[in-house]
Amino acid sequence: MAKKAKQKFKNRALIALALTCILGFGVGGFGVFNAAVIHGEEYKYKAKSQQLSDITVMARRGSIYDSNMNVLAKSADAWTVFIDPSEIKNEETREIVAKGLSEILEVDYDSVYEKCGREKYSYIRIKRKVEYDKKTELEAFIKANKGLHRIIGFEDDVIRYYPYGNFASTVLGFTADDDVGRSGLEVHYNDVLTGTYGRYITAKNARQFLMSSDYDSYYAATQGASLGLTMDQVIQYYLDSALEQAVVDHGATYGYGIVMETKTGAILAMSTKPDFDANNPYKINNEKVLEEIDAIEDEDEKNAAIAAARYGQWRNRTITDSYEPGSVFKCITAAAALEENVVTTDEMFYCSGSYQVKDRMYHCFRREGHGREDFVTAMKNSCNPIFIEIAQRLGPKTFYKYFDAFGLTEPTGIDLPGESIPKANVTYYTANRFTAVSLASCSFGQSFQLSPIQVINAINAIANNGKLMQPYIVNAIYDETGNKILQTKPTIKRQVISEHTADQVTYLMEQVVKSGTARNGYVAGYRVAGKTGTSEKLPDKTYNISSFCGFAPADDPQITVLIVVDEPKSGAYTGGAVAAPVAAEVIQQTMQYLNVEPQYTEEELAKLDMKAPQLVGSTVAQATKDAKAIGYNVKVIGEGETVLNQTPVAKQVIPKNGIIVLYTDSKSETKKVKVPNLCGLSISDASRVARDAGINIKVSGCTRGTVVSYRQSIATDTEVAMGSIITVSFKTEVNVQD
Amino acid sequence: MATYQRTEAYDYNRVMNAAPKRAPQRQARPAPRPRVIEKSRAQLRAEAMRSRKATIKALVICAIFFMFISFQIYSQVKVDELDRELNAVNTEISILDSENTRLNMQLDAMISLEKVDQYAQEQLGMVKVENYQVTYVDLSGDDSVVVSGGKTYRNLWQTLKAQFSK
Repeated sequence: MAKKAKQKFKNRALIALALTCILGFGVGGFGVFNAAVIHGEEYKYKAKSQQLSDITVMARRGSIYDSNMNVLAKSADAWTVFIDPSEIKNEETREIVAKGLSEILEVDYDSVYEKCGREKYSYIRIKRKVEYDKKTELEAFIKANKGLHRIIGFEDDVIRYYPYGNFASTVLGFTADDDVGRSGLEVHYNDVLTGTYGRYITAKNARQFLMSSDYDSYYAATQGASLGLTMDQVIQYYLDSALEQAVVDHGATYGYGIVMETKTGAILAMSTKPDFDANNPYKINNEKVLEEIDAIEDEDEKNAAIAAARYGQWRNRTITDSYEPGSVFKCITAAAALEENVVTTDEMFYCSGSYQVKDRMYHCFRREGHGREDFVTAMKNSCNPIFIEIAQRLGPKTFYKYFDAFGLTEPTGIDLPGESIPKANVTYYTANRFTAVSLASCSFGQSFQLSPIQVINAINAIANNGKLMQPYIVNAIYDETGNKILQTKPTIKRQVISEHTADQVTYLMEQVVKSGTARNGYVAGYRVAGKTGTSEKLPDKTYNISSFCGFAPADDPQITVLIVVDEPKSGAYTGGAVAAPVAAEVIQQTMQYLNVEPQYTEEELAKLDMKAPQLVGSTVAQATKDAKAIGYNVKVIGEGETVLNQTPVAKQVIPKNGIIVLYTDSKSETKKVKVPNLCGLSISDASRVARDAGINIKVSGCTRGTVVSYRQSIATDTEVAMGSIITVSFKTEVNVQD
Repeated sequence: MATYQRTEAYDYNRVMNAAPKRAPQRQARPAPRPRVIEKSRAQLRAEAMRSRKATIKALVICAIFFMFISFQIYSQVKVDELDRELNAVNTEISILDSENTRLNMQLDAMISLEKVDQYAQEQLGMVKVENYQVTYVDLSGDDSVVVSGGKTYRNLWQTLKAQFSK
């Protein structure tokens, strides 16, 4: 009996022990399983965040350089300033904080004061992209006022500098607050320019301080690569200045222009005016647009107008917009016709002033017609009927073949964002959709639309011996240490026309500049080939688009230039009157900058200004005699007998029959005169007015035929030294109706 | 016994009623004889010396260990300090680099082509370069040395080439 009871006791004890073990270890085991498996990741994260410090190492964005490695965009560290309003305990502190921040950071006091009052918040941003000098000033302010270190704080930020503000802003683009590109090259090459962030992981002690480097891992940040552009700062400046002036002179809505290196397709300059300040891209730069927005009363409409204006000014219209190229396209029609031998340069045509195609009557800009003329003259006169005729000879299939071959049915593929994409039978006709009427209007550049980059690339093919190039703007990519990691090589897309045909079209275009509708594109010393164009602006055809596309020197082209003036409202509206003078200005300056030696013809040499003789040191009588002997007028200032000074100085170029002022007395001050109005005059009238006022003029622009001055380098009524030289620009408005 | 509750697990009666067992009586053992080791005075002195040496040895080891630990701690502190200094210097370099960029950008903005052009023309009265001021030098020919007196020295090849090109 006792033995049985003993066994029973033993069993009960064993069960109790087993239950204890199961419950005890089971709970523990489940705890481990729960922590390791079920909520493993969560606890792992918590442990890491408690024991490890993970700091992101910022990667600085790459820079953008021009072709001469001038910085066009560069990033640097900056700070975001924020406040913790929950720490502001009284009105006095609130006022101190608001006053200090508004004064140092140049932000609105009322806005900061209001933010300081949001006591439920512990983080409110006051200003981003605060630079080091402002941060230092703010730190001193915090130090000087007790307790502000708990209220005002700094966070790391980054700032992007565009040192020249508006300079090529539509091409460069800009970055948003998150350091990501938003337009232009900044967005197209965002992945290249953006570096890879690094990480610094290290252990933290119980007080949350970083522990020794034995426990850390450092993954270095890779800085963004930098872009070296084909764009040249100086040529870009010439183009920007000329376009800006043209927009003002003609009251135009926009002006676009491109300068391309003929042999490579590299973009030397690209501009859209008006543009925006890349350092402040949200500010609307166009005064006229701002006035229109201010006049809107409805808040929603106003906001929509502001957004539209911003997007408008960010657009690089040389690639995003398309227009009817007008008569500039006649170069392509001529190239196709000459290549296909359906016409020769000496073939005779007859322009009656109009041309009937089925039920449609097309007119030449000269309604009475040009009469009998050869093909060269037809090109010079930009005679629509002749081009309609040769397009009919080509037929739709062949016409389309060349339209396509010149790259006009596809985007050029330039490395910029937002290039307009041609749509078959929407922006252009395919071969099977051409009718006799549409073929006729297409022959002189109407009924289809092209982007400016397509137009210049096609004309560039003519300049480049028939080779169509792939246009590009990024020449090289550099890593953070400056090593070149990518070099763009010029790419020939295809041979569109033969070299012989290209030479023939070049000859035609040169004649257009010499004595055709593009005479205002003439530059003394340089053989310019070009073609003007005037087209009605779609959809309502109220305004025009005036353009000029050409290249120089014609015998060995270095640059191809396109100038488009959108909606000129000054009265003159043709490409020959509006766009060609702008192109001439850009070509002349660029040729000089590129050190292309001018080759003057006999006629040009005869017209060249002369260098002022050295008259200082001579007696007044002798100096007067010498000056008059070579055709200069003399004005003597002072009572002395010897010439002590002269204006213009020796060797300065002044026009024939100009005036030289001789100073004979050291006490005599430089004689000042007021600049007269020299605009709207012929060369002889301008010279006479200038001579009467005691100044010299330098004639610039077109000097052939009936010309009229349209700009002077120094404004009317400005006081200048007697004998000073003022550049007066001339252009013709006769026979430039296209 | 009534005070105890009945239970199935334990039979307390057995425990409570059992007669106490007598502990077995131990038999007396004869006392062991003490061991006596006789040592000479010299032996005793040597032993004392050994003991002292062992103590010193232990103390030295402890001191070395302590020094080692101290050195480790000190070096760790130093590394931390240097780490902090390095971070501070790196931060300063980064800030100065940014400041340098900012100032350079300001400078570039001040001397932009537009401003230089404007200043040169309006303030200094300068004019743009004219073609007459540019001299084009033809470098396509061979090099030659011109000495005073106008005599030109050519090498043999150049002389021959010049003769044939006449």
